[in-house]
Amino acid sequence: MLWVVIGFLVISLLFYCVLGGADFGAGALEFFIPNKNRKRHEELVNKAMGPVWEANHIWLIILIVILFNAFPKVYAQYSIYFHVPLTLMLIGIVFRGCAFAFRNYDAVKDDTHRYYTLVFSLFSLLTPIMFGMIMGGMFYGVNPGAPTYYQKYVTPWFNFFSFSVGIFVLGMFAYLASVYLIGELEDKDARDCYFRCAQKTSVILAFAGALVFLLAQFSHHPLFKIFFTNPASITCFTAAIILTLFFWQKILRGKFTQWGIRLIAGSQVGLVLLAWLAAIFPNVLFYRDGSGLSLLDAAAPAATINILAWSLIIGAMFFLPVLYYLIRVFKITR
Amino acid sequence: MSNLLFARLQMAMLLGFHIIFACVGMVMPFLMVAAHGLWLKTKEPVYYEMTRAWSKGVAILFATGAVSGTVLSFELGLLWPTFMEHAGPIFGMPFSLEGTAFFIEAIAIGFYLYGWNKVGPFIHWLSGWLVGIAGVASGIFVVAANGWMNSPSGFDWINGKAYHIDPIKALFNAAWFSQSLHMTIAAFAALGFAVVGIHAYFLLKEPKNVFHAKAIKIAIWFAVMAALLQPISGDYSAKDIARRQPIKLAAAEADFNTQHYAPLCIGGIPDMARRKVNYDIEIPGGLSFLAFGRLDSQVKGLDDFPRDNWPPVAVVHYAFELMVACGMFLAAVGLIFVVGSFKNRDILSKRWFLRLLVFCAPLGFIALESGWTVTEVGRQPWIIYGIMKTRDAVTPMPGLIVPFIAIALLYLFLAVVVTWLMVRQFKSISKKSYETNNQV
Repeated sequence: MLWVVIGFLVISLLFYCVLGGADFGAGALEFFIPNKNRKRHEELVNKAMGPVWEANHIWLIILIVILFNAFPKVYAQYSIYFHVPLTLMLIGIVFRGCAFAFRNYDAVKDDTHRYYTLVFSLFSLLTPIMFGMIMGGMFYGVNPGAPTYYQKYVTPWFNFFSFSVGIFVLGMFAYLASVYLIGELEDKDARDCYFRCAQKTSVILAFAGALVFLLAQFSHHPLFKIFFTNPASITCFTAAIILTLFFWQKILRGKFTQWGIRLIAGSQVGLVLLAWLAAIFPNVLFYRDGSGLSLLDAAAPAATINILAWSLIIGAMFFLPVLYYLIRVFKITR
Repeated sequence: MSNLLFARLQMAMLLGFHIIFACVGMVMPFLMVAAHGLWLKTKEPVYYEMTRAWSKGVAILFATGAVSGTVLSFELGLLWPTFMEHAGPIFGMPFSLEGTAFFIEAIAIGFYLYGWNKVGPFIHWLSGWLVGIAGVASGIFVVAANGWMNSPSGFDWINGKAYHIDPIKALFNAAWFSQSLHMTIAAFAALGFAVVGIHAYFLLKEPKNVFHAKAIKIAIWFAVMAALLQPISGDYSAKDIARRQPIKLAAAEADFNTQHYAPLCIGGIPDMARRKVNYDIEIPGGLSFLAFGRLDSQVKGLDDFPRDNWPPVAVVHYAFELMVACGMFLAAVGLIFVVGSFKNRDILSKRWFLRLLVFCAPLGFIALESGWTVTEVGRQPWIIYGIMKTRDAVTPMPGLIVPFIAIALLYLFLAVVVTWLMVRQFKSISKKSYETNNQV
């Protein structure tokens, strides 16, 4: 049953990144869209995100609930050592969620609109970086014995390596958004705009990815070795690369379906995440002395795990069909 | 010490803020589907307008509630990691069920808000119901988790560790039913009176506006029914607490001495040094009767418990008095309305009654917030009653004043913006319905 719970944990992380992440990416793109396309982009984002963003956001809550239910030690350690960045991330989530809802539902359309958009896009940009920095920090390692506040609560996430992970995560989310938005459009001109976005974000991703490995090496973390000696990681990573080639080949030949490219982009990001998870598994947090906190060791007693697994299975039987229906109504039969 | 204080203040603020929006998510969908149903039945445009206007408000408030709820799910650990490390596996089940219910709620609300003309009208209407049902369910689950903190069960606590965990027993702890019932009814009363009060305010300004008159007619039934049921559920809760957490009742009543024929004390200022209450009104035997149903029953006073385990008596006492006063006032208004309606007087067209309703608008929420103050402050110094002290659960990270101030400013700003948005919403309704009325 533990594996069912771990499965749900991984699935919620993947879905949060692949679905909720794209919502962040769409907001972040707003920051870079040229002025002439701005209005169209805003309308597109409102229409595309409006019905689904709340549902996409819930994956994060499911993730957290599974964590404190089944792996309370992990949750407690994250909470203690990443207090500062988690608080910053939460502030970001609050700002951009509210700004998006306010922009959509404000009864009066006037100049305030500009501020909603500014807040929405700015925090859509900063929050994924923070999210990535926390993920980076988990690997960089925390130091419970550190003498100063700064070394204990700031250094693990506030360093070049963690920041490069932040940029990589932002890049993934922006890439997803670009590809998903292509599917929302019929007009070729408008589509080209997002092809270019997808192109640029792919280049950024390649550089940021290389940087992550490089900086890991500099801060004496053998990420490269861990990553490329793990068969599962290699498989996932290779599959992601092959999908990338496949993706651009389809795009360049102009033969693709909206759902085809969405699925490919989603799988690419999912595979990269899986590769990373597989590389560090079963550890989910590292300490500066080189030891790791293992998900398997931190698991709650069997009674809790069994009940949780069953509630997740039964819960999924309720919410997955409803979720599918939502997507079908708003995304497939439009 | 100050670190603990700021952690508690921050938690109180986060919960106090979130609860308002959580109630909106629980109750507003039912008002929406009521208006929506009337529109489907009568095809009067005013009901369509009402459904749309209310659902726009709900969209804003629900989004705020969703993000402030996310903040809470993290802050439980950020502020109280030791508590969550031990309690997570025991009382996590209601949270996982709540997660599921909230997921369904979020999906259904997307469906409802954007589903006009996309799906059949009946299915669309049903999705509104689903929002409300899932909302109430998630409310009940979260309160059940809180109930566990007041009345821990489903584990054996041996040498600072939990053994023999039974999450189902923990879910159905002794407090879950009375607390959930009291909270659900409170949500309906608070939100009902808030909606009625706001529309009454606008109706007083524009007496010919049908929109506001009809909105009041729908919402007042929710408000009044809840307000009339609440004293019964409150009595049940008090009897329950008298058995489960006698010290909380003693603090709420500022009852310092264990005695038979314990008096019910109304108002007054607790004097901690002399262990008595000054300037209160006492009803002899009242507390004994309310707690155990007999005038001569013995009620435990604070002196039955070690001084270290006392909650802050004054805070709990004032909050309790405030809650009861507001609740009783709303019940009285409810009674006036019911009697007025049965006597076949059109009480809703009387200006004095509308003014009374405007006055009632914030009372339900004041009662709700002070009621939660009684529950939470009344449980102190324990985070898990009788098991773990709050001061042992707080995060080791120093400097909690900084996140406290940051989040306080954030929420203050958010509260101002949301209020301003709601005002804009109502102003635009007035404009619109004037236009529709003139066209008709």
